[in-house]
Amino acid sequence: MTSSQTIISRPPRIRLFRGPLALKDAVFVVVLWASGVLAIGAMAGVLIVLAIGSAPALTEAGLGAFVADGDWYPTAGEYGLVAMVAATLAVSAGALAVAGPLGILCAVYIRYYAGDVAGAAFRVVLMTLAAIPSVVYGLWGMTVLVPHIAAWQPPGTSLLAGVIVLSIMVLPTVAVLAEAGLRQLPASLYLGSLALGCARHAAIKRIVLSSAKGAVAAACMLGLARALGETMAVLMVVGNAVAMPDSPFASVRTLPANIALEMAYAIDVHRSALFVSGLFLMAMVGLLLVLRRCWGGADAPQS
Amino acid sequence: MNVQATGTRKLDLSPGRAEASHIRVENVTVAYGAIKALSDVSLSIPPGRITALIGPSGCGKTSLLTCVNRLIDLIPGANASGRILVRDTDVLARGADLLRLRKRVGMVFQKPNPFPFSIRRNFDIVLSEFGVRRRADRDARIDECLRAVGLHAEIGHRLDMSACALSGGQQQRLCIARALATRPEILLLDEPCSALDPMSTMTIERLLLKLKDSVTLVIVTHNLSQARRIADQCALFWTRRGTGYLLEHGTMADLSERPQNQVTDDYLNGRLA
Repeated sequence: MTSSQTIISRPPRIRLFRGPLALKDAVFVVVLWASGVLAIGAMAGVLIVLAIGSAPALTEAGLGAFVADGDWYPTAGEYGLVAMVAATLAVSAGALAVAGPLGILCAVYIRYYAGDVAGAAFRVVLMTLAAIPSVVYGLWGMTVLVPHIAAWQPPGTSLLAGVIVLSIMVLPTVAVLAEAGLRQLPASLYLGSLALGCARHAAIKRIVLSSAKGAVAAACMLGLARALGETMAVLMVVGNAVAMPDSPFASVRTLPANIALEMAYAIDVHRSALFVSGLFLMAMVGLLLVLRRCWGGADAPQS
Repeated sequence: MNVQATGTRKLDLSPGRAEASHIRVENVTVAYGAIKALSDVSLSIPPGRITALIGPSGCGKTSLLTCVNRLIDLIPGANASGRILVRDTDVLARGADLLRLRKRVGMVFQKPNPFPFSIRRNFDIVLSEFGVRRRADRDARIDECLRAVGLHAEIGHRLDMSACALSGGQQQRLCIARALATRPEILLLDEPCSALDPMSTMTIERLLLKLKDSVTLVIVTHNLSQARRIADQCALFWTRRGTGYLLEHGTMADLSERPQNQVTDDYLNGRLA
């Protein structure tokens, strides 16, 4: 924190209904409060629906069954989710491993190397990548990527295909957010390091990126969260066989895909078991947010 | 002079070498896009002295300063023409070695810009870029630089604390120390005290007076009494239809007692701007 950073003090308490201005303020506060409550309410609503939906399966089979069972045959009393949890993690982590570094490099290129025109053009490309519907990525993966992998290592629908498709989808998220983080840094940091005789790559690697660590980590975390929840594109290319991801060419099934695939016909405890899948997915994302709080540091870059 | 030779040069140069100018500015013009910010400046800056660039805002002082270490290259649309000779090297020349130049010519900014890491790492990054690899060598250099700016007693034992936790004046002195870590022959200072309280300002002024034995100092300042207190030579810039130019230069006594222009007289005696 530099000395010049202004300390924002708490605004004075608003006295309600004192003249027209105070009234406007009061209305504003109520609107703010209402939108806050709405957001929390939506979140709580989702959790409650998930909890109610999963209750039958959890009482019938118990939480232990979902962890301990070796297989997923919900109509035959086998509720094992571990393989799907592992597959979800493998696909997402793989995608982040590719898209994270690439996204950071894109952000650095846009911010420090591209000229005005090239930088703007690149940003438009990234925005477009982000805007393409996931089913279109899935279509591309299914018709172009999977046959290529199949020619090499059949059957082609595989963890690897999922990782590649997801990488392309996560890339713009990481790149755009990391670039925004870099833009938040004071210019004096980069100028200052060059003025000290640091080469451009050294200034970026050792000073700029370390200073923006928080923002870059946040960009990666949000990319990972997006990867964890992605359903359609992954479902279309990974083969969806319930199995531990023991090879990049293995066919796997992720948790979101599990829900999407079976919800249409599931009844009774099977249906409820799919709610438990959703609960597990929520828990994974929640855990991610907690981890980020613990060692991701502050989301805001240091002044 | 190559980088290695600069690296082994001692911080304390023998003062008063018999050279007429350390930096020689010849017909320098700076434009930002179509707007000319500084027009046809020629100025000689002697070694081992403090040269103050004074004048109202927007008359191109900082532009000239950033030409000397070519930081101006980073401003989109900026273009500098003319020649600036540092010793015998034309730094505005197309093929100038900017990394070497910026190690020879340090810069201190208006707002202190410590890197948001520990004090030690602020130096380490610079020193490793500069080829000082051994821990003992680095520590010796950090020690030397902190002593040079009088920070050693205050923070010498707390090198692992964040540089951002220091007070504004300490941060600015740290930035000066960090700039000294490359053992520059010239130090450019862009209003280094404008964000500081009077006490810190006095500390830094004393420091600059001490440093000028070993480093040539060029300081942009809006504070005329500061220029009077520390500058050996002053260059007064003015503007004409939005373009800055060098109105007059000489010692502060010359400018205030024997001004060549009425504007100089009025400005230095507080009757203008």
